[in-house]
Amino acid sequence: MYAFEYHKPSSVEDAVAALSGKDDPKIVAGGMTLLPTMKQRLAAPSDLIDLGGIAKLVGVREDGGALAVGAMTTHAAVAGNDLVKSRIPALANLAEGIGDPQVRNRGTIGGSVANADPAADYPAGLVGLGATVVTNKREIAADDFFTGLFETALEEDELITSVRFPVPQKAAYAKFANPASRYAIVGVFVAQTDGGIRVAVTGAKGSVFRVAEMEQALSGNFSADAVAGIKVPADEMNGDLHASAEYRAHLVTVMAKRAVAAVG
Amino acid sequence: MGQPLRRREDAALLRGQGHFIDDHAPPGCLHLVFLRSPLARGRITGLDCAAARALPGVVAVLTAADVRGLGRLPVNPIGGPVQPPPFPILTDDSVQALGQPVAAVVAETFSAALDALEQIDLDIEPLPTLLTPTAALAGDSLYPEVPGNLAVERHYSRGDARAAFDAAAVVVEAQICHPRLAPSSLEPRATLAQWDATAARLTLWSGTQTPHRLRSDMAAILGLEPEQVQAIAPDVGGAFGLKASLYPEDVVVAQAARQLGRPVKWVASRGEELLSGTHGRGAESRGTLALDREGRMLALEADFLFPLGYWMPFSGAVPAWNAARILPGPYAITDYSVTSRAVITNTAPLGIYRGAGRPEAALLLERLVEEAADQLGMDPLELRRRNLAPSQAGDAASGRDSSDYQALTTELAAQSDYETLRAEIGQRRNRGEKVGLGLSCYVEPSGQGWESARVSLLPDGCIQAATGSSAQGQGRETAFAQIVAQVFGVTPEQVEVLHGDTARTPAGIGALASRSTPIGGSALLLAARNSREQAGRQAAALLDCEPEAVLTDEAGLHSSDRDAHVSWAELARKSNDACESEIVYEAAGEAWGFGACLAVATIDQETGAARIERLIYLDDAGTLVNPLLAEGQIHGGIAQGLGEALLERLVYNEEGELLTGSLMDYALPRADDMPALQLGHHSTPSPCNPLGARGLGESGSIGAPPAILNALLDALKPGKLPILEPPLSSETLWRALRKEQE
Ligand SMILES: Cc1cc2nc3c(=O)[nH]c(=O)nc-3n(C[C@H](O)[C@H](O)[C@H](O)COP(=O)(O)OP(=O)(O)OC[C@H]3O[C@@H](n4cnc5c(N)ncnc54)[C@H](O)[C@@H]3O)c2cc1C
Repeated sequence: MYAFEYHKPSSVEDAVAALSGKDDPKIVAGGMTLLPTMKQRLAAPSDLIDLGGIAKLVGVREDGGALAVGAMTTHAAVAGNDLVKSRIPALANLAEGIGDPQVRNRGTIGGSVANADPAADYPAGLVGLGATVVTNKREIAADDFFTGLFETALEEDELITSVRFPVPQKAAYAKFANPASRYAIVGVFVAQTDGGIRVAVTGAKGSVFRVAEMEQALSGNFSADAVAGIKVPADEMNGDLHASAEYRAHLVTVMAKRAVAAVG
Repeated sequence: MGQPLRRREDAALLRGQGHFIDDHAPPGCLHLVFLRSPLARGRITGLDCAAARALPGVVAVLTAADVRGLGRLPVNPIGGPVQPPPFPILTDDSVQALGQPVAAVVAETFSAALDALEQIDLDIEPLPTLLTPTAALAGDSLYPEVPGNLAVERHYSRGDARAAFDAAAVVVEAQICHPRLAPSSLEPRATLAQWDATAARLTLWSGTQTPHRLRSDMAAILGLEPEQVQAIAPDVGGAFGLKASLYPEDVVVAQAARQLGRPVKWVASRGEELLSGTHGRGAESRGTLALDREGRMLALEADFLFPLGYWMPFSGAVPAWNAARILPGPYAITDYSVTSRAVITNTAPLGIYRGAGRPEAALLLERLVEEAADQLGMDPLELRRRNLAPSQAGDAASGRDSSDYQALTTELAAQSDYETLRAEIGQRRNRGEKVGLGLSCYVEPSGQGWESARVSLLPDGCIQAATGSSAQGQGRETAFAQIVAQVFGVTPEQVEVLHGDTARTPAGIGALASRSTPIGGSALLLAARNSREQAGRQAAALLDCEPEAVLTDEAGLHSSDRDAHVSWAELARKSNDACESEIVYEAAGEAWGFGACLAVATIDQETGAARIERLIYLDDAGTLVNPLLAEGQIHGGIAQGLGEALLERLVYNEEGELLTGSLMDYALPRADDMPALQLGHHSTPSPCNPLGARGLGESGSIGAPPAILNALLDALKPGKLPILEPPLSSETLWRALRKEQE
């Protein structure tokens, strides 16, 4: 790890102020991704702005029929939250399936979403539920937020304060985990929402994506059979040591079927 | 003895009060980090350390010049000759593997050392690599000392296998690419060295499995007398064969301490372990088995080709030798011919990872047995029972071990309710499920030779047991205390166990080859008996009775009528001679553990994901000193065996880059990967040692993989995998299922 300046602001305004005028400042949330990267000397921020001192960023509350999850809410807190469990159990289930207990007790929704790892689980949940990312500056629809491999619509001086999830009629998440890291090789989130059926896939490409063909098929006939024959093209998929592009493409269909079956 | 006593080590270890190498920080301790080759093979065209040396906090940068002229690590020529490659310490001309140490930075702090590492300029001109054993056998010689890269070759044969094959009714074949594995102990390798210039003495703290050999090898390499070196293995966080040998890194640490006159510490990162620790398995194997119509095994041919990596640790030849010499395993096959070769490759070195050749042999053999059952249309358990060697009484005088393989298969059938289980699996299969049953029988030879022990009555009445056999987290203090306590008639708490420090223990071999209880434990047993006898004689004089009439218990020694007493402490103070015995015990023969395993596995037809539903493991380790510890060893071995079968694999790409450089890509088994285990023990005492113990530390990793893989291949039927390449990942199984459907 290289040397850096450490800041622990107690408000969002102070955090934003701390971000300005620095060489290469970085926000740190749970540190589960950022700290290992720094330890391996692959990242060298000049300043770390720790959001851990901002109480307002933690917790889940109702917000006009939606659930607003504070950026600093850990995966374990989301998994164990009564509101989430009763209103969007699929989201609690998704959070429960992230990494291991240590990671779930440190890692945060804001960190995961800002990091936009192609194999992370939350992006499927956000896009699948049609969530909104709330920042200190604006609101960004999940569909517009994830722009590529580790890339988001966030600007330099912008930080996530919460994520707002509309409550779906029903939803489910099916994940095929990487045997080593336990990230998603493929994860499919299926939801029946007021805006229609949404099918979001993580792990398979550089960034989370929706499968329009599946959404249409499910609108007519909400059953696993409706998606069983729908294949996504393998040539756009990620391929690595753990799963080839062809296998990932196959798993998208299988996990979509399972998620649909789990929605019931 | 025989009690499931909890580990005395745990109170400290579980509270974080253990003392591992990284917990030791003598005043003024310096930190050492290595610059490692980023390429698998090449010629060094530039190495400039000036900028690194100039950084604040940097004390020295060592290069090949600092270690030139030092000695070589000996390689155990086990079972025949070995042509080892040179022992590289630091290199400045060529690199032969990714991760090979080129330079070492020594600095006041760890981060100063890392800063300096980035300032070293290293230029390497790449050369074509030889990564697999097949490539190395066909390629140019990497070292002139090792023509054709062939360092080890062993043949074992009996009878006329060829003739038997010609006459056989059925011949089956198997071909396996064994995955390259990382031993993955919780604590990585670590070494701390301190040089006392006045006394000209080196103290080495290391997580070694072999402190006494570390001491003598290090002394020879540095040109010191063994008396000038003290090696200490404090708490060791697991080893699994990874820490059996001295490494080039250890020499650099010691040399730096000697040059600089300050303590120097190196602690490997997980990445360094995956890159440069000794790996396991990695062989390519083939076999053929000949049988008659009734399923009698007539002859076996087997061939193993092991990759060795670019240098050989002390036991580098062991896997190739073990794989060959333990065939035909537990079966009565009269004619066989087995060849095993090992070749130098541009990869990390190969060591004696848990099992060390035995798992490779067991997997090949058990695949052949399963194939044969298939071809003959015979039940695989029945086929095994027809061919297992009959039980033998063994004999201490000639060192021939006893065995009773049939008893375990009989019990396996009973415990699994075999007929019913088979029928159920048949029904599930008829319903379209991909489910299968797999079996294995295995043997586990557990070491030859000697071990030492010293047992003494201390002035405070404690009994001290010092062993040359060390510990690496197996609970050895607990088990050794039980052995000695039984002889003295005291409680295990009254026995203090010393191990791991060459200055305080008699010379010994170490914690290897599943030998510590059979040989090290027996040495303690004999020394304890001698020492107890001395105590009896001396107490007799004080108690005024015959030595044979002296009784003992935790309070002390008594005359048989219990009228006269002397406490242990009193005896220690009052007797003229010490009650102490130090012995070197040579085992009469090699004790062979053995066992049988049954696994039931399913394959998810859509994803290919494997699941182990059930695993029954029966093992015969002879006399069990502590059944709880025994069970723990079996658990761990099975977990690593499951890893080998389903999850673990180190992968180099064609350029020789390591794709599995971290645990995010190298898949270790976790608790939720494990099925519930059904374990059982038999105790056929071995005549080869006075304890009657057999090895068990490696057993789980020998018997579990073949049973698990056989179960999955059974589930896959009629699908097949012509070449078995564990681990059977979900994609591998999915592809095999898809092929079958086509
Ligand atoms: C062993 C392991 C296993 C894991 N397994 C999984 C898994 O199965 N599924 C999964 O989805 N994830 C997994 N993760 C990732 C983990 O869940 C975390 O979500 C992730 O590491 C990021 O969250 P964090 O709070 O730790 O963020 P940090 O590491 O602190 O930050 C990550 C990035 O986000 C930025 N950032 C953080 N908070 C904000 C904010 N509020 N606004 C703007 N930018 C911000 C930081 O600057 C940084 O660039 C795993 C991680 C580990 C170490």
